[in-house]
Amino acid sequence: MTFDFSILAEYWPVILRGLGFTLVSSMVGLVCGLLVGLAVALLRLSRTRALSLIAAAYVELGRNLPFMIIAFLIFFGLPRWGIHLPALIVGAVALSLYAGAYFAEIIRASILSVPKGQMESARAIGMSRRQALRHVIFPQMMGYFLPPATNQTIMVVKESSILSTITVAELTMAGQIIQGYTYSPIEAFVTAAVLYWMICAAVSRLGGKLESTLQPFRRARTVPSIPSVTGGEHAGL
Amino acid sequence: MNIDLSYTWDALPRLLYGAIITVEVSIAAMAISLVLATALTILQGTGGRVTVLFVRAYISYVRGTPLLIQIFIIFYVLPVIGLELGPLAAGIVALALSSAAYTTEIMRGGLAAIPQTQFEAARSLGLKAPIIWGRVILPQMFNLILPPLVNEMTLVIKATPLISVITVVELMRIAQQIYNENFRPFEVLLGVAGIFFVINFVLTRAVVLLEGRAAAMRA
Repeated sequence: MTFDFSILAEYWPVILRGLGFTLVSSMVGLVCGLLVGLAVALLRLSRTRALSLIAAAYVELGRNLPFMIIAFLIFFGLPRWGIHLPALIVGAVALSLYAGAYFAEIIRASILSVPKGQMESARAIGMSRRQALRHVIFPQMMGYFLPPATNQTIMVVKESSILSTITVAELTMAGQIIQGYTYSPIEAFVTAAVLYWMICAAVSRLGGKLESTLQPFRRARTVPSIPSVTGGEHAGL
Repeated sequence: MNIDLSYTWDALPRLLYGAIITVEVSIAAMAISLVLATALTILQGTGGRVTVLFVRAYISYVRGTPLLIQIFIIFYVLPVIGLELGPLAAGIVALALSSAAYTTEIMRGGLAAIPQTQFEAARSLGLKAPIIWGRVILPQMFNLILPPLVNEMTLVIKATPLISVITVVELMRIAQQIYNENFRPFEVLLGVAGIFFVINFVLTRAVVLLEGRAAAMRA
């Protein structure tokens, strides 16, 4: 049983394109997911019951449905509404909506985990709700936000491989293409796996760096927690 | 835009049949994953440096690579090492191996929540290691990690559509067969979404209930 990785050499354009599409869709999914998540989190925290319920429904949908189903629904649904977009954009939209549901919970949890007294004190010294959020709550929030957000970013990168099923030529599809030409599936997919792993390791490292720069003082101590429904899903690498 | 839900309704019987397959696959994968994760947790807790390194490397691999890639690798690697299992078994194995890594981490968290005094007291009573693990530590651990385990179950269920890519006939692939016949993918997929939503919603409510019960017991 020998493995010959040199056969992949002539397919480096396919791999490069796959890597590019993976990175683009992941980054767009991340940024738009954060924006969607922020909006949904604020809606969830709103005083208006109806808005809060709509946001909660959105979060439940995003978290209970497999991403493949969401991607397929959008992929087949948009043309029915007359919207014809390239598969990559459809994939990025799907990733954003899916990640948005998870980021909404992460943002909401990190806003809520700042002690209630902070908001009360800020209001007591005359800050408006918006000022208090911006100058007092938000900086303290980051310590609770960054670890699960890093995990979620890794999840976005990994879920982007599912876009290969809606015809996006990203890294997983590159592996399938190369396997189709060379009949060496192990070399092709192990290469893709290594590249994915490197991206995720880089994200994990970046998240750690962000944590230490934005939180030079230690955040509030938490007991070793068993990963559960309310926190992020899977911890980082 | 005309969504004709009668297509969804007509597809439901076949979809529900697929849902049963999905649930069976998930239970099989989860069962294997639990056994494997328990073994890995014990290995990690009692093993030497090399063993621990191996377990950490395995967990890092599972966490750092997409599940779809892992499924493809298992699907193509198994025949090479002599296991001609077919797509269904390969899919279950891949799901189990992936879930085992995350479950090991859950168990690690659960173990950390058991006070060190339990280990010390058991040791000072003269109990041997297998008895300590089997009678003292693991029962407490499983009780603690029940909510995250049910959560992990929902993640396994959400991962099962991926094995349709290696031609396993479960809910997703049956849906594809249906909409290849009636050219109404959106309506059929709405049915699939509904089924997944109901299954996972019930499980997540169960998790909330379990967490509440655990919190009440701790109080």
